[in-house]
Amino acid sequence: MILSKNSILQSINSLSGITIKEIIEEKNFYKIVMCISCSSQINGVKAFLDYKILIKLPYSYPKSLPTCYEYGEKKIHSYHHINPDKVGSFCLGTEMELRYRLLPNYAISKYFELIVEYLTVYSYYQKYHTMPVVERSHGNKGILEGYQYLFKSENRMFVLKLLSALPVKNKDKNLLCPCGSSKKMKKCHYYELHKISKSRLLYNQAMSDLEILKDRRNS
Amino acid sequence: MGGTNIMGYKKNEKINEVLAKIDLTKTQRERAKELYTNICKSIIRTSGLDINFYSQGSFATKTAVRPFKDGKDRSYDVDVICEVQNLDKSITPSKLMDIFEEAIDSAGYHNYTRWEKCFTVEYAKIDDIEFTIDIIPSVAESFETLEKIRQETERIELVETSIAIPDVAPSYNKWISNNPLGYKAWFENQTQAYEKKYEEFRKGIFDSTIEELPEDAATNLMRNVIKILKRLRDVYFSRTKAQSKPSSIVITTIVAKLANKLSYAQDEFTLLNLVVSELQQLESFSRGKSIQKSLNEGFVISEIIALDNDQWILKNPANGLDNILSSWNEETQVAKDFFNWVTDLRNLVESQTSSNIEDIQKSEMLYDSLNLDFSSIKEADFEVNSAKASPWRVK
Repeated sequence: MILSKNSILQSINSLSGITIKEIIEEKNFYKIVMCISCSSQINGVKAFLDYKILIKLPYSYPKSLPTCYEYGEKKIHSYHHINPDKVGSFCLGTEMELRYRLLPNYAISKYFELIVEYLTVYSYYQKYHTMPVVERSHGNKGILEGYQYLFKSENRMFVLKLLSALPVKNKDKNLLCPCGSSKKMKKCHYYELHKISKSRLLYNQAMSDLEILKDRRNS
Repeated sequence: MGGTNIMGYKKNEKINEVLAKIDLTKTQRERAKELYTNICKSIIRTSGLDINFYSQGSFATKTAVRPFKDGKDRSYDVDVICEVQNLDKSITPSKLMDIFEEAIDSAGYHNYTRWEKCFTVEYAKIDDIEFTIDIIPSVAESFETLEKIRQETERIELVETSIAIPDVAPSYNKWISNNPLGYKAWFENQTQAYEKKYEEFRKGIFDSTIEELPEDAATNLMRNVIKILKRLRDVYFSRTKAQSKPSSIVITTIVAKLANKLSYAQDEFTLLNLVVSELQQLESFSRGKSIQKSLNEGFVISEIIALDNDQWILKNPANGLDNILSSWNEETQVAKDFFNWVTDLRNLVESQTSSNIEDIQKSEMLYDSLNLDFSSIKEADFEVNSAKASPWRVK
């Protein structure tokens, strides 16, 4: 993917209520100052967003993912999805889930939408003091939950077996599913496994997550 | 008069616009009355009992709004008290329930559910509105209990109409005291007092251009503020999924009392705004603000709701033994949820007067708070799929 100032500017054409104030070329990343002033809806409830966001978009994207945080005055306070770093960057989701949702082409506009989604969830939480979505637990437990959600299985061992079977190719369709269901893979977890296998970045992410999840201390 | 800016956003007109959407129509009210009259007459016929029946709650005070729960509009539910004149508390509560069940059955009503305190009868949809009627059996309250209630009730003349309602489950079989007629009488006193206040207010204005308003203008104004708060509550608490929401009697009692203590409000928006400011004081009290300070600042809520030794007290005006804020004392989270709601009300009221928000967005905010559709409203720029979004906790 070739990023340029122009392609970044064009990416927001389809996103109403989002404007880019500034793009600065830093050593390793684009620094983007974005205004999000739009309405958004979750579970039938409207949110009116008005935020200034700074996004650090690495030149190596999508190999490395961007980071983002509120620019200037901070409106988000005491929220458990703000990283404890100096700038208060947003924790949008586990790497695996973010990458999975940025498929098929890692369009940067899709990443911007994830920021809108994050702000919408926060807005609901701030107003109603409850989360309108399922959260991932802190740390490695959250990584496991991400896979459990993806594979629709509560069982940690199933997740490990499925990840260990990667990569999965076309010709593996008719083999038994590694989850142990005794079903053919094409009738079980083929879709998810194949999707991960097709993307080098996703596959790498899954392999490094597998190392973490294999460690019993993380179970 | 009042509230309508010469130009720009007409916030009180908006309030009246949404009220029309959450209100019961005259036809609906009449239909409900017809339905409960019919079933009560049938119960009288089949039971052979001497029964005096009357509506209670929001139907009696004419503050009913279209019910909303778990994100959806629900059927109207009318509570009807069936006070048996020729029985007393010497019968067991469960026996009284059994007699009513048999009478309802014999009358040919089969679409009902028996609960601990009442029978819910469901009716088919007419004009897109469903009705359910709660039949609440009761007998007159005993002399001993009346005496106890009188000792705790400010307006003792209201106590006489107290009744006893059965509360029956496998593990208990008891009476609960209630006084819907007394409450209705109290509420009517409040609206009359508010009408007087309105008259005085009018006398104070020598402006012949002010149009004559219908006789019950002040009463309707008070009722309207109660209705809008009830709908705002239903929507807010449906979205928070909190354990319990403030009951209608709490809202009705507070608004009626406040309206008569505050200077006359010219329109719904003004009264709503004043009520919300008063309610905000409650959270300050819980954080240690003194009553005196609040009074000095011109707030009157401390004369209505007391906080004694960490106990919130607001007595049912028709039954002093009934502290209608007791749930706040049993579970502090209930009070906290109430305060959170008040904060949200404050934000809504402020959004309606803000000069930084476009008029169309003000309407959108109001309609969203009431979960109402608005044909001219534009759709949200983004739609978040709550099944996919899953932020990762940082602690």
